[in-house]
Amino acid sequence: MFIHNFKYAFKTLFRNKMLIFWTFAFPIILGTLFNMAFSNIENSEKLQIIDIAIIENEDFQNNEVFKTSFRELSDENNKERLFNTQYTTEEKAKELLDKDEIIGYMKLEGNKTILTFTTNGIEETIFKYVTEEIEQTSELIQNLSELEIQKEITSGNYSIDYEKIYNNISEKIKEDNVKLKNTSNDNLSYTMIEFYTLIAMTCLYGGCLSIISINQNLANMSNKGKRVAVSPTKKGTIILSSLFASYIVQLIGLAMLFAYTLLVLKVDYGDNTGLIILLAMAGSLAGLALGTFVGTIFKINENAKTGVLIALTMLWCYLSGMMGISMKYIVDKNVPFINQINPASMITDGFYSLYYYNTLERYYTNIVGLLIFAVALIAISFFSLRRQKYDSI
Amino acid sequence: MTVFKTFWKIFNKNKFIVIMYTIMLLIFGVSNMQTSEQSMSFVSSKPDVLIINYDEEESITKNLIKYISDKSNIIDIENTQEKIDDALFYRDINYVIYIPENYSTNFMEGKNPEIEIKSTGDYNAAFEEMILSRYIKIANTYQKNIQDEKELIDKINETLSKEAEVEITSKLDTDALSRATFYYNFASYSILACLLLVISLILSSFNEERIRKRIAVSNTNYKKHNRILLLSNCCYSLILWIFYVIISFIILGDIMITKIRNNIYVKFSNINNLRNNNSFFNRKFI
Repeated sequence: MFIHNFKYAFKTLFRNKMLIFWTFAFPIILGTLFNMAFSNIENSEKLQIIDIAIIENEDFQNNEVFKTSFRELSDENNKERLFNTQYTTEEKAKELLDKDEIIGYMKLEGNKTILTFTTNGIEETIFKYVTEEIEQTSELIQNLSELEIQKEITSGNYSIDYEKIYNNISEKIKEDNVKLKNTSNDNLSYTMIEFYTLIAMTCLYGGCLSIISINQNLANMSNKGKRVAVSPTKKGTIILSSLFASYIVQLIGLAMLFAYTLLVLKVDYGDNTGLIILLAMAGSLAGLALGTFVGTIFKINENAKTGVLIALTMLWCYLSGMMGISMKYIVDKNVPFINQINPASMITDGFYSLYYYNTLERYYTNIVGLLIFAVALIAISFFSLRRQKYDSI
Repeated sequence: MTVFKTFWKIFNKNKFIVIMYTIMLLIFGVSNMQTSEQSMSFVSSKPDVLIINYDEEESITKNLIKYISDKSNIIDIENTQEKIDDALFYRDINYVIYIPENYSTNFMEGKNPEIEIKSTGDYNAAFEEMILSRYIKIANTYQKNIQDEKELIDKINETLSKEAEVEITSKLDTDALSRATFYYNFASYSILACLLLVISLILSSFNEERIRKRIAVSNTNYKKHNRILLLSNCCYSLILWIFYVIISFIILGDIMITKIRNNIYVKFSNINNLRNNNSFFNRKFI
């Protein structure tokens, strides 16, 4: 009987076009839209070459430090190139600034450096900082030269080679003596969270399938349910096989979404395929449990039940960062309890921990959380469903 | 005319949707109106940084922390690996600096101790790395020549205090523009929602079975009927758009007028430039 009902429940679910659209096609469409919207966000945040201008007046021509430094920083062959510099007149620079072709320009007036911008910003700040750095380097060379000269005089050497001292200090300064060890993780793409919430949404939307399956077996919800109620079969077997069919349909939909996001959208889920599948299965089970719970507990029509499920899913996805990536972090930081009982957040966090962390502690906490959520809802649904009998309906 | 009038009668019954979305827009729009004074002085961007100091906060370490704090926003986060990594991933911080134990002593001994960092790799992180590298580079260079700690710190601070003069020739009031952008960003949601909801509700009222049958047996040509419905929808859309533009002029006032004036000015300047550059206009007619 289990296999017989499973087969027909499976076919019925697959023939429900509306259901298939929302559980199969909708997440793929949404994923495509996410990809279109977010694919370039992170690239635009990386340090790009900054367009600037320098007023090529006499003061600049006479200042060797500024000339050399900006030439090096604007050199196309330099790997650490920072600027795209135009050497021009003040009038032309103003015109370029008005047309937004440069972010600002620099003018040397004697020893004074004047920078002109139209607004505040990070690129403007970097330009200002680099200019100050060049000035500071100049001063550093001057100070160290003075110290060296003083040392020479104190040691009784009065035939000082000033040029040699200057060149030695300049060479010393050029040495890269900054020792920084970068230990940050390579996987820092925060837009991945959007795709993880998409998977979470699909898992929970799978609850629609179990609502349909449950309704097909409830005497107060459908004609088929009435026939099931009067048939001499074990209700448990029928319900379990229907739910199993909806779980399988859900997993097929999820597998299609995974294949699409992995192969077409190039979403990074980490390297541990087995754990990714386990999380997807646990997430789907949570979705199935949610659908069963809504289908059994709420004594309302099918559309209203679907409405409740979608409303819950949307709220949970919102809290897990679907409509704004930082929302999950804000909730985690301020009210962590909410996301500890939020299945969408557990699924998102599970994928996030696989992608970002090297340890699996956080991942397993999420898996256990999802299983507890699923078991609790299934248990409540089970107690609500058992021994339901109607004298007349 | 009957169809057109009916359209507006049904709209009148559903006008609460437009009112609701407009109120929402006004609430969000007005709450965003708190303005900061437009400043003509340059304000440097500051990256968000977390400093984890394992050394004692004195001498060179204290000076380094002070320099970083002056140039960056110091964010306070619970010192656990997970919290720091989360903050970095969600861009709550751009950069983490771990000052190692005995940094100050090792530095003064000329060992040039290594500093561990974590970075998001974006603009702000790159800038923070410039700030940190600058300090270390200057400090290291001076350290080779100056042995006295106090003198060394004074020299470092003296060199790092040199700043460039900045002029702002602001042609854009970015704060005002961002308010106008916020209004129109949010207004697009309201306009879309009002169009979709109201038009679908009105059309579904015309599409009710009994009404549809009545229309079918009436002497109005169905093409004309549909044409009037289309026209009514266009009218409604246009009125709604004008309504939201008027609201923008009411709540944003000067910003909108300045913007329009600037646009007209730019257009005329472009035409003028074009005329001046065009030989046709410069040709002398004999």
